[in-house]
Amino acid sequence: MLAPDFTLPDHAAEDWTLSDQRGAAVVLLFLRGDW
Amino acid sequence: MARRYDEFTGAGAIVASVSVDSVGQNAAMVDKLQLPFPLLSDPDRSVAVGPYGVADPVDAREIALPTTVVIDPAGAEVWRRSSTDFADRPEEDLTLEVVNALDLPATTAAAVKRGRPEPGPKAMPFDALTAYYRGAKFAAIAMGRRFPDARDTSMAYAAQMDRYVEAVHQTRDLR
Repeated sequence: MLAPDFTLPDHAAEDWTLSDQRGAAVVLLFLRGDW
Repeated sequence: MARRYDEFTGAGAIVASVSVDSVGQNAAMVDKLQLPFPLLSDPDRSVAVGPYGVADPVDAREIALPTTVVIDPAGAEVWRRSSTDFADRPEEDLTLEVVNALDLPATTAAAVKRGRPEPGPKAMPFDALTAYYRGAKFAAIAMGRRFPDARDTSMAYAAQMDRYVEAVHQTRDLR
């Protein structure tokens, strides 16, 4: 199943798009963050 | 993950992380933890945390339940693990095994050569630039003669080419 595509700003406010990474595997880490 | 980052890129993966914190908080976090991969910001929970279904069901703030998702080169999700609670983090060894099984070439930034830019084999030789700009200058003058309405514009281009020639000479003196 296709993973949902998305675009989000990185920590430098640059857009990062999942589908731009095609051709490589992507390890996506969901983090709790600064809690 | 930060410490084993090279193993993941070596296995052909791009690593990215997502939290519900702001870009500013994430910048501080990346700096503090020296993360070698991007930390993306999804404060609305609607762009990634929601669609991937990883909001922590027992946390009122709907922060992400620590989850690792592996996506193959065609964009399909092939594997995921979520932690059961805050003291349990998804296993890096298992994740690396999954990536290795995809049998990909390294993605690695280390594979990208760094250093001074060099002209390619088809670049115009430096010494040809003067002749090139002089040719452009005389073409502009010729156009101005042929089309009197465009004469002012053509002469401005010709003067511009003189400045380019001058710039070439100055650059040559610096080399």
